[in-house]
Amino acid sequence: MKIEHKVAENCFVTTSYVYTRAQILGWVANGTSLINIFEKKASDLLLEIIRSSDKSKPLVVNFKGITNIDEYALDSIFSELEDNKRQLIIVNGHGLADTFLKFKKNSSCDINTESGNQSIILGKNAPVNYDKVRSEGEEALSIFLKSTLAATFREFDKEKRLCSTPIIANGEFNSSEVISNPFSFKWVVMFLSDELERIIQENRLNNVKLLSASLRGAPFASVLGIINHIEFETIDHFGPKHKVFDLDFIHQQERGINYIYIGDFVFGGTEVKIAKTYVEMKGSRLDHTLVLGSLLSKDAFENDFTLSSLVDLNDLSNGKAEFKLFTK
Amino acid sequence: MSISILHITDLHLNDFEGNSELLRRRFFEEYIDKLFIKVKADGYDKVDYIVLTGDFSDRGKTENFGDVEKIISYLAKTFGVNEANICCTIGNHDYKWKEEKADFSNSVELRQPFYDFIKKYEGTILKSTHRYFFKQLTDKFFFLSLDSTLKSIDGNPGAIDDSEIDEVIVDVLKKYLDEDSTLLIGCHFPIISYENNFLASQEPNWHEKHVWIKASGLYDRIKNIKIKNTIWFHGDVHASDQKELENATFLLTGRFGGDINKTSEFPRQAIVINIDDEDQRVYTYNYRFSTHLASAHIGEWESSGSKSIRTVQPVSLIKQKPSEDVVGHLSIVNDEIEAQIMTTISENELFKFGRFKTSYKHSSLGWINVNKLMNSPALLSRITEKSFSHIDANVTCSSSECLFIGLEVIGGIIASQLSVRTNTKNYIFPIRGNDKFYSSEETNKELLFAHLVNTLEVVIFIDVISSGNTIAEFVQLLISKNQKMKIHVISIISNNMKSMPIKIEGVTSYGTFCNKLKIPLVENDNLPEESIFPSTLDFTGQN
Repeated sequence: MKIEHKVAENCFVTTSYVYTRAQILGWVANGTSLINIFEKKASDLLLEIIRSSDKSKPLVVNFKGITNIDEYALDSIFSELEDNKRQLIIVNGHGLADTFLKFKKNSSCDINTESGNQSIILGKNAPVNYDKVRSEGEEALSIFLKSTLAATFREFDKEKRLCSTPIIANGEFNSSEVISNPFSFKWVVMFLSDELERIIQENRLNNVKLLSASLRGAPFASVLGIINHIEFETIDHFGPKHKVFDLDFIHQQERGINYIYIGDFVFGGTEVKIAKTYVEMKGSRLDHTLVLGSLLSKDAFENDFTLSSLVDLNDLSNGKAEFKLFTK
Repeated sequence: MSISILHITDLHLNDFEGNSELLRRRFFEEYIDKLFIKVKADGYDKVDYIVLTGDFSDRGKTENFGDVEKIISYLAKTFGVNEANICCTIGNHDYKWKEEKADFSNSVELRQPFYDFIKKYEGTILKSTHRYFFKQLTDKFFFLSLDSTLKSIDGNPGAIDDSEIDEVIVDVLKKYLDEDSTLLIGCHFPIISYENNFLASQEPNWHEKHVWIKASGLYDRIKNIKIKNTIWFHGDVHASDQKELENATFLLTGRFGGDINKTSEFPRQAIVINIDDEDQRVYTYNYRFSTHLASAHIGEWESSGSKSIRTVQPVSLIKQKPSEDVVGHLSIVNDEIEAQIMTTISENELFKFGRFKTSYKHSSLGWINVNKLMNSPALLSRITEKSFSHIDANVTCSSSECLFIGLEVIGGIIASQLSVRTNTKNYIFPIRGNDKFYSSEETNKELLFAHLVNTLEVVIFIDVISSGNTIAEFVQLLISKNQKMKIHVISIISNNMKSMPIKIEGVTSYGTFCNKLKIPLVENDNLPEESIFPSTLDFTGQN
């Protein structure tokens, strides 16, 4: 198979910077099994970005989730930056600073670490405006996320009741369109991964397991499990039409697990409530639900679990999407 | 250049002064002499290296290491090997694992007698930690000793962290090895499953106790390093097998010592492997007792002759030629994963008996919980990785001209993960139940059909193919939209029915990860009424 990668799909360009993420490069280069290691093939993709992007813009590389670097992976990067005219800013990779220094070998590429900002600067040693790096990056990614999810809205011929819930809608957000497009899928997974990490850290959760129970939730849950080294469980399926094929799950006692349900979109929350019942029958607890988008607010299930959503569907479709309660 | 290596494992020295072991003080020299005579008869009056893969002592009797040293010295002298060319690895009987603390804080202390014992065989150590040591035997010959017992519970194979794996790969193997290197790896617990191992069926949770499953990441990374030869030496199991897998050779050898009054269906064993530029040849030696009463202690070594393990190939991936047949003939994508799938199904009881109505015509009498099977991140990653290799070998067009289709949950997971790696568009659909159990948005294929017009090749991923009828219908549906397209099918499991071999008309390639499982399939007309034998699941959507 002749694989055609597009450099532009591995990075985002803003007014002042070019952004990329090492885990994305690792996934594209080596698949999910080596997604947390920065190897030579991932580095080759980074080199492509360096060479093809606007030379006047510093490159920001998010190293979140990378646990190690292959010894020879950075050779070509150091070589490319040897004249110290281009700046490469490594963020969330401060723990690997010693590794960068060790693998620099005889290269004349400058390496400067900034522990305050938890960053490593390769090449040009110019002051970095971290507020600007952060705000431009967040804005670009936020625009991407909202436009990607908004574009999945498909209007029905006429209003109809959604499968899983007593809500009438004039259309549906369809996550299949995110999953089917590798560009959208990989970046949306990274958003979910960051959010998952935040949920686990802020709530100090241990004994965590991811749960998915739909055709379109499972692709997200499985890759999040692999990236974050968290166990995952897939049940076929709670929704949108409820028909469970995995018959023996009810009998599996598994006490003390903090489950995080991973789904695509939440409209009325029926699937999540079924998931909660299922988890409690096993003797565990549904702690959080993490989805791409939701019509409901974060505290809609406040007595039961927290709902975390990357976007609020009410804001997303510029008024095109209409949802109302089914009353007859 | 020809190199010969003697592999011996599991000496289990318990009572050197007693009368119940072949390696007892008054017999071990005769025992070794007799082995040497047989090896010599096969053309080897000396060997270059001896690899010993653990369990030198029995049940943590580290005080026996002094006597073990006498046995090894005699082996070395007999086979003409100097001490630096003796390669040792720790086994779970070489420390008092019952005293190991849950936080592993005394792991090193418990293993210290072993570390002291093997010091005299160190040779040229290039790098070492408590997890491994790496020694250079000649310019291009290296030995990696792995401790598969560290971070273990109850003496079972232990855990290994990503950082430890990184260190072995990055700081050792990639640093010192090149394409002309030969790497010998001593590792007490087998790092792969040996499917022919009869013991696996005799002990509950056998694989958890004897296979270093948690190090599959290490194995995956070692095999990606391009070197001339990689030879894994294993022990622990007291059984024998040899195989070649993905450019590496795996040698599992039966025990050399131990109490002979303990019954074992497997003889004492030693092997010699000879490596030259063209071939790897293994000679197996089994110790046979002359009478049925093993306690008579009278036996002889027998040579079972030599067998060629592999013809040494230049270091490169072997690519399959795409089939031109219009009927896709089944191929097994990876033998090792097949064994892993069978084991996981067996150990986790994932095969359920019942009446599973898969179509109006057929019912299956068995059902595999494939979602639970694939909840193992390690297995999922390996299947995804191997699917990538399979696609790379079989798909001839570019990624923009190709399309992935993931059927059902598991097919969807694999298709979506691989789509990122290959930059290929993918679609996910349910296939069972005539769309009746899914929303119209989930089953809507309009976008897929529109995309098919400009597609040259399609790869379909599916969890289980039982009769083949459903997937065959789906393939025909795709062909009706674009007759020129090549279609490839990859399944996790394909039913192995001798009476009804699965063939899917119109596909160019058909690969599966497991074709050993038999799922009984019966025509509904031949089954009792549902009131007598009700359906456990009905996928026809009738009920």
